[in-house]
Amino acid sequence: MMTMKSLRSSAKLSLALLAFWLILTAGDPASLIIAALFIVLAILLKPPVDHSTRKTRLNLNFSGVLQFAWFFMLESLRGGIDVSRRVLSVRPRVDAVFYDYSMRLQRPYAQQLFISSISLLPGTLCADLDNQQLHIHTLDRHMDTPEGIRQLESLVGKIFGEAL
Amino acid sequence: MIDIMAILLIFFGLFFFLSGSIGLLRLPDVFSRLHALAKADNIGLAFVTLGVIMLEPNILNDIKVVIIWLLVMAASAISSHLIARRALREHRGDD
Repeated sequence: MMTMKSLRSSAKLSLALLAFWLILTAGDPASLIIAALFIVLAILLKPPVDHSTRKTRLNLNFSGVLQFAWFFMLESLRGGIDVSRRVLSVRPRVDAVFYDYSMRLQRPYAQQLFISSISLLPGTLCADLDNQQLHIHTLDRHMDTPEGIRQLESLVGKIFGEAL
Repeated sequence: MIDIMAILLIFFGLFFFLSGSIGLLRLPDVFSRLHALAKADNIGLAFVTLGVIMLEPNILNDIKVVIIWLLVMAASAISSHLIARRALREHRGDD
């Protein structure tokens, strides 16, 4: 049975997806039938969220978003250059290793953004999640990837109002 | 001048796409290949997006291109994570 809060959250998500769709299709009315189908699918497949807890409230910190975006852009550029240099060298330079990282973030949205962002940073790929423990694959055991990941986690926390 | 800069940016983007594809062929295992694909394609698409924005005067089309970039980036990050998780669990014999 859907509660009032989950109905409201589904309605908000539907409106946001519809807005995206209208921008992507330049408001073409003929495409709305496809939009309706996929919006309904997205709502049905959305993982359940516990609205009784404060953790799922979405209060974004604007300066945190800007700091994250800047960090993300620079690190993405470094990540792209690093991986290109490795694959274009005569013998690809890979000294891969797995390690575990204890995630401190508690809010589900923050955790999702953090896990998704890890794979786009230099040398890191989030391979699995076991409770709060992340299994991270790194291309080079000598890179100081945990420090970069900690910094990323703090910035994501700042966006969602979690002080780490 | 803007056209030349835009074309240069698009070429930078294509270079990163090419690196990602080379990485897919040259790197030794599924995890390392995912690094090449996720990171090189992400930054490659960013450069192509910037170049296209410089060439396209219609702001609505620019917003559209940025949204496409963000959606592709999200899809790339999520699919990399899912493929890596599956490969790791298979490797461990969990499934």
